[in-house]
Amino acid sequence: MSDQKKLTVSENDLHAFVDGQFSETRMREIEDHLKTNAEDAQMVASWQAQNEALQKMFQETAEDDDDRLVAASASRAGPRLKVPLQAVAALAIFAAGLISGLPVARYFSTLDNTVEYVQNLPEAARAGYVIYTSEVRHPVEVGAEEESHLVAWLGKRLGVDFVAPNLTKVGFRLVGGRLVPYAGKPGALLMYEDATGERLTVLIGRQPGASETGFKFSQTGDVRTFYWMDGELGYALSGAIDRKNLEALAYEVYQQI
Amino acid sequence: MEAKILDLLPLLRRYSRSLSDNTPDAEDLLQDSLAAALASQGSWRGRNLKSWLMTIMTNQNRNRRRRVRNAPGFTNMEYADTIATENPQSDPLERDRLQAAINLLSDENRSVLMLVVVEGYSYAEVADILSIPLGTVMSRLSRARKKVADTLEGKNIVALRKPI
Repeated sequence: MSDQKKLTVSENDLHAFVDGQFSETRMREIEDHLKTNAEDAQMVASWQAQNEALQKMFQETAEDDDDRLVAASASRAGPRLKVPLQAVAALAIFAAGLISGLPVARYFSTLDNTVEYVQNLPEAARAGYVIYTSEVRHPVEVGAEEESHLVAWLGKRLGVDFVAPNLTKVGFRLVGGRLVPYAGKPGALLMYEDATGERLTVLIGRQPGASETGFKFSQTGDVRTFYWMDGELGYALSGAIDRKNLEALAYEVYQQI
Repeated sequence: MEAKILDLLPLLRRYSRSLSDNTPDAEDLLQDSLAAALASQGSWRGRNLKSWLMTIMTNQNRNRRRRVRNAPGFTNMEYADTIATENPQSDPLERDRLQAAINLLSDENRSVLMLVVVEGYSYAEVADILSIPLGTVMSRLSRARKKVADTLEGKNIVALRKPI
């Protein structure tokens, strides 16, 4: 594919021509070749049409996405994409631990006291919030319409009975929930949504032997998290809403569970 | 690094779409790839970030599809998602036929085609991203193009039953 091959035009040259991989000189030479070679010209035309169709198809999907993202962030408190990805990284590490079970699991086996367990809650909660609230098609594994199944299933995986807090009187309905890894063990992530599409998540993890803590607050970017331990269960409420409202919601969750 | 990755999200999303048979698969692939990239930040040696992410996504895709193929009784029920109706400028049937044609490509040939045509990489860059020789880029590209063309022209329709 260099200027050395001036006299012959191989099939590879035709591909490279279609994809604009050559210098202008070589491109012109191949154009000339195509003028006198109908078979090659036809092949090139068909590949060019294919390229255009593919480019158009995926350009369109990219534009659809952009519209969707703009619409979604407009309906929320702030631009969601500004959320730092440390949170995503945190969940990735938890997920990696769940899959590989080796070095990360060893790391978490040292988290045998309440302090470290609870310190990691806000990060994992933010990760769950960032990853799953941005899901348009399947934000939850089990929807709220199967609430009894949902709480039974998640409760069984956590090894504890729990109820999904009812936040309808403060404007948030339950969307559903999913199982997420937290500290190397199953955790539950519940998602809520208000009428404007604003979403909240509640991460619930269980640490046998842990003790109660007070409310703690953490913020990274636009995502704020209130978290606490209530006996063996750790809770973390995350959302991109202002601190005062989130605190009121956290208190509501705390009272119900 | 997180901020840089976020800037590349539209590109990553497009590449995940171009490798996937339908939108939910593409969303899953994008998430898996982001998680993998962030989990292995340490192995990013200052190389071109975009190419590195493309490599990760290509590998994630291969692994995912291998898992799916090996899962017994897997049936893709969400295929209808690929019928795009939002954009009236394009013929949805034509687009659907094209999607069906690229869905028939092998993962290897498909990633080469998409990196070159949709993402606009040079052949040498694709060789680097996929860690394959330039000649292999060329042969995969050639196979992919011919297969798509043949499918669209109906040349490779295989009759499932012999006509009576």
